[in-house]
Amino acid sequence: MALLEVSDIYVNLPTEDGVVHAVQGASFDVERGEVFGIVGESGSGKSVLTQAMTGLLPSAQISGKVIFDGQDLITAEPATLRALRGKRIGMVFQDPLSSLHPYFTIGSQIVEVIKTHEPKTPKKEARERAAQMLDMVGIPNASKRLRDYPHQFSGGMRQRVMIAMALVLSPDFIIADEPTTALDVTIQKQILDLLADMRERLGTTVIMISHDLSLLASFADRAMVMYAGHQMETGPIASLFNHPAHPYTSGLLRSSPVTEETQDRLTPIDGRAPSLLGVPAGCAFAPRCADADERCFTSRPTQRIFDDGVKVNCWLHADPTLVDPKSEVDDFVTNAHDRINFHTFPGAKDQPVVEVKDVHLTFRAKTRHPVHVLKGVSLSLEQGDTLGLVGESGCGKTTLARAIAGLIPTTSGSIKLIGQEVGGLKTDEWRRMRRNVQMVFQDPYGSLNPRRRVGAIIGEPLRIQKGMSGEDLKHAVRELMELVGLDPEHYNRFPAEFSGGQRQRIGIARALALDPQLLIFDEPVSALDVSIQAQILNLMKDLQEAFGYTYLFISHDLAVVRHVCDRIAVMDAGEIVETAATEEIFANPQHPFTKKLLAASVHPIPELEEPNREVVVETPGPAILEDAEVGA
Amino acid sequence: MSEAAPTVAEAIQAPAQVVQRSSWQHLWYRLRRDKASLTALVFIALVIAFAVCAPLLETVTGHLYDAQFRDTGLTPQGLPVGPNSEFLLGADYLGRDMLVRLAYGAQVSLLVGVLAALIAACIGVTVGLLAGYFGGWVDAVLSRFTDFVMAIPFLLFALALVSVYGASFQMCLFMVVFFSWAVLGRVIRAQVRALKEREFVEASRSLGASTPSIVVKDVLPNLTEPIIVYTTQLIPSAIVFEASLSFLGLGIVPPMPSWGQMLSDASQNSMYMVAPWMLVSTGLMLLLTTLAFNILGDGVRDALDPKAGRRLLAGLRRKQKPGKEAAHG
Ligand code: SF4
Repeated sequence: MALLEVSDIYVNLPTEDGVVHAVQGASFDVERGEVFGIVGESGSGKSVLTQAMTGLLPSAQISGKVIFDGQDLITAEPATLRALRGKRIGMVFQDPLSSLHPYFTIGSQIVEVIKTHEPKTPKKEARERAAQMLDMVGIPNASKRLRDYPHQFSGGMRQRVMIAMALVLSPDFIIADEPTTALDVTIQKQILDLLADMRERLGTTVIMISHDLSLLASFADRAMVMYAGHQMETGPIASLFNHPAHPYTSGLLRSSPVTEETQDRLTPIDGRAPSLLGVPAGCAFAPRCADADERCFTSRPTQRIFDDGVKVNCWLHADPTLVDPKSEVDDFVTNAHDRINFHTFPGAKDQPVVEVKDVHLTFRAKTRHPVHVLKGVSLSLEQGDTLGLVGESGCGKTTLARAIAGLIPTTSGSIKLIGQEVGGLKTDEWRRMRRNVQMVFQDPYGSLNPRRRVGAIIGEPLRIQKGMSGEDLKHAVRELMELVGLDPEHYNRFPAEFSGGQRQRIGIARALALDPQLLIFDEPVSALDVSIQAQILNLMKDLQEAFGYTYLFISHDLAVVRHVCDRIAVMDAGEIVETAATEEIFANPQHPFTKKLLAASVHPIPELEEPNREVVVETPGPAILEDAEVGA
Repeated sequence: MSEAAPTVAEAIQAPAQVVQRSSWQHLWYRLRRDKASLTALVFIALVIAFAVCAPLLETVTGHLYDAQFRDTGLTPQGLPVGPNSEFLLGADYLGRDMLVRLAYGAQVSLLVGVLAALIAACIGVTVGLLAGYFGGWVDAVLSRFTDFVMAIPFLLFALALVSVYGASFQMCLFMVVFFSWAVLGRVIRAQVRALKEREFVEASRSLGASTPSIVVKDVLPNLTEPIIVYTTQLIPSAIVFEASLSFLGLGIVPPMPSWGQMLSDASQNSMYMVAPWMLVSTGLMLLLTTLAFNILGDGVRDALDPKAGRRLLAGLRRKQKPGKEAAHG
């Protein structure tokens, strides 16, 4: 018997705006000792599903069956569930800092977990067990570090502490909700290895939730793909990767920068995720699906189970069509070129756009030791270049970008923009210089003022720098919106009314408004869903092709950079350790740090022969439940 | 610890087609469902109507607010008469109509309360913005000044000022404002410091926006909510403040009536022992008005609190449960 049997689970979340239909009839089994992945983009219901299962969403309305080792979790009393969590079901969340109490030592927190579930354990023994567990998850000097507070650990170490805490009562089942998303790739790898090792040694069953299908490739045995609360495809990981039977799985794979191992364009999934307030009559993916026909919109797809264990909810009985990526910049816009008065960049051919020489930057706080963020960085970019600046968090890459953009002063060294030394520029000279350098920020939510309308946000640079106003300004803004693929009619909306990908387009439009020679992208896609990431990356490429911009692309992710950049500079601890052509870096990395980074960001995908699979059963898909029927 | 469940709000994150509501729309949307706040709002509206109607009451009763009715308003022993058909709320020790005086007192209280709160809010926001945005010596000077104001013993200060310049409406307003803005200033300063680090401010800087433009366009609009909340909460404290000053004879100058003065009249020579209505009606008005403003202030704070959605959700859920059981049972 499977350890966990989930059948026909529905989760509704009542909110101020209406009922959010977070999960719509998912069914799956998790066998003892296996790693089961749940994949989906934001809003797919993957986290809500597991939280609802374990009773962590008291306000949710749930129906369906979740049988854990013979016991139904949905009907179980809260006290029973509380006893199960920790004792038999361990949980690891994405953000270890907010899950650990800042005022208690980690030793006392782990001991408390033991004491809560096994009150008779003597304190000394509990401490010993805690130390052993920390040792096992790879924390050096475990017994000493029991007395440390959470802030004394680095991000990766904290996640280890969380895992130790989840494992200390040796639960037979662990739910890990994006346990590595907030971590650097090299640490990500260590944590995955750790989880895999725990499973080997203790035979633990793991459910791993992730937005990243490729992350599960080398780790999970089977996975379930979810979209907008619906289960799309479930099956062995090798089948999902090699022969996706569902158009969404196929689309997800083709838009992921990790699985597409060439420099070619990615293929984004068109459109955006639907609102969960409504319940679609047919397939949830239909509006974005290339294979959709009329039936897909009007009735729920059937569920087919193949003989290799793959379960697909889709009307399509053939392989999904592979669509070609369309251009993100359409003809109209390319022709609009001269209407927006794009000029050719003056005197740019003979000199580098950016020249950074031996730049040092040291932060001095009064009481603390000076921190050397940049230690002699040099780089240069020619007109039309795309340089990827890659490194882990805290390596100084963002600081370097801000220094180039003139947002922070350097301590020593020289930065030249278009042949002009920027160190000695006065305020208004800098203001003029900013026409040549613009920045696109990482966080599409934080970089747009929530209180201003989109038209005003995009028009701001034109107003400041060119003194445009009235109809002229409006006209220019509308053209920019069109250029980045936004509907110009949405001129008067607020940022909160756009999705993450659209907001990043707004940020790009704002940066393009002055037609700068150099665009600095600071992790422009790291906050976006995979299918949306590809749209933005393609947009960047198309814009560059059309207008010849120079890009400096900052990212922690080698795979993403690979699709956009000609050259890559790898940064570590305030220094650039290696610069080479993109394929060169991938084929023949020189510096040990580059090698380490590369090893951590590539996930081997299990190979599989073309299966000759047969449908075993075809059943109607999950029913559409009325709101009142859920959780009744 | 490992049970720190992510909140529903975080878990949903549905990229739905949402329409942004302005702070005011948001406020009204949520306040409408809050019975306590609505009651408070209605009460405040009534007090305002009462204050506005003061001259009307004067005409209808024929009692000017400072007219002394020594024949009808006082007993032959010279004690005030209690509530009767002519003096609905009784008369005070000089035979003046309590009802009319209460209405005029409401005018003063509301005027001082609202006016002082608004002026204090303006000062607090300006100081907070400057200190928070510019930091450095500007911050040092303004923050020390804020500390200084908060540290002054206000009664001594009020006594000293009044003995030098004499009591007047303006003086009273000045003192209330002077002691009210500091808290808001501190709150705004902290908020601005956080806002300043946000990426959109940096984005504006990278576009070459000038400092005044960043402060006015990027920072200020994002302070709407704390400003609304704290200004609402300033009103009741300003009302009490004015009443205390007037009670001590440092505020509004007679014959203009104010609630604080009327309370002081009631307590003089233990008048309230023989004429309790002097104390009860005024005290009750003052109490209920400040209470109403306080409840409204709390309601406003809850409505604008980003976490409020969750609480509302729990409330909905509680309401739904019994209904559902009934449907099935
Ligand atoms: S059911 Fe239709 S719309 Fe849905 S994924 Fe299959 S083919 Fe596409």
